Amino acid sequence: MARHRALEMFGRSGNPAFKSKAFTHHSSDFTTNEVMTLSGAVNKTGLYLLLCILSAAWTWNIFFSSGDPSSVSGLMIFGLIGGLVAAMVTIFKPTAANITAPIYALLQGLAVGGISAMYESSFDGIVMQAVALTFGTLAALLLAYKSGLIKPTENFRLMLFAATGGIFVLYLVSFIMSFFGGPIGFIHSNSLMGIGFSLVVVAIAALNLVLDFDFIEQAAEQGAPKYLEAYGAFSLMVTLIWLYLEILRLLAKIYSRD
Amino acid sequence: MGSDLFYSIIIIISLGIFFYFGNFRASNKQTERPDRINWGKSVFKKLKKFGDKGGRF
Repeated sequence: MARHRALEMFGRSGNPAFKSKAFTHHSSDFTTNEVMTLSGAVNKTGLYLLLCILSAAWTWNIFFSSGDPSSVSGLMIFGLIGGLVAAMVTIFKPTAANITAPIYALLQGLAVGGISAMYESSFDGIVMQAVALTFGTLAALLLAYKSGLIKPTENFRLMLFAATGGIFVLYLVSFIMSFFGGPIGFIHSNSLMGIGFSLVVVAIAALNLVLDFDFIEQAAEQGAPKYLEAYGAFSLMVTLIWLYLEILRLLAKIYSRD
Repeated sequence: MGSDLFYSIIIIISLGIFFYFGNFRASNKQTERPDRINWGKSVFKKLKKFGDKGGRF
């Protein structure tokens, strides 16, 4: 009974990764009466972060021990495609999040480690700054959310969803255009326009964290099923990885102007 | 080297804040609002409603 109420209550997240119909489905393979807790979601986020960092450290070491970008390109592509598949499975079958979310973290770590190593080889110290800015943003927004300084509303979610969708479409168009001559210039350029674009994207990615916090808070408050702990942690991981990569791009654009 | 230490401290403090305050419930100011997000409602339905109203909230 409580399970049905919770599933009806928590249909969707505002996170771009969470547009699954599965979230509104009543699960038939959920067999325990355990409910979600805040600490469970926080601990699982910690575990997934650790897994992501471990696999990222592995590709990082391979890159710097060989000094050849091609030595990690296979692992990076495997991590990107595998991570996408794991994310899709998590989105469409949230009851499996306990298994698929750690797999997602491990696979994304492979890609993130390789990308980070490539940036670090071009701009010394950039990765440490990007990691500090990412976690600093996470902590600052968590405090702002918990204290009630930032109040996510339906309109906030709607606008953020539209903005996130717009960025996704722009990236997709740029990717497709790259096969026919060249991508959309300002997205990747280090001009003021390009830096301004990156700043906007970083702000939108950061605000998605607030939606994740609100989702986790309400789910725990309403006694949602236990597997939503893993699902909530997965949502945070998706946003954190996106935020980290955008910060890395922004810093690289700024450094390349010098 | 000095900047690495500075960034390491930021990372440790930030993670400490996340793992400590993440376990606490949000303030009443946050949780007892009438305009909280209803996570049960699809964002697509909201967008459709937004479009039906000619783009006005």
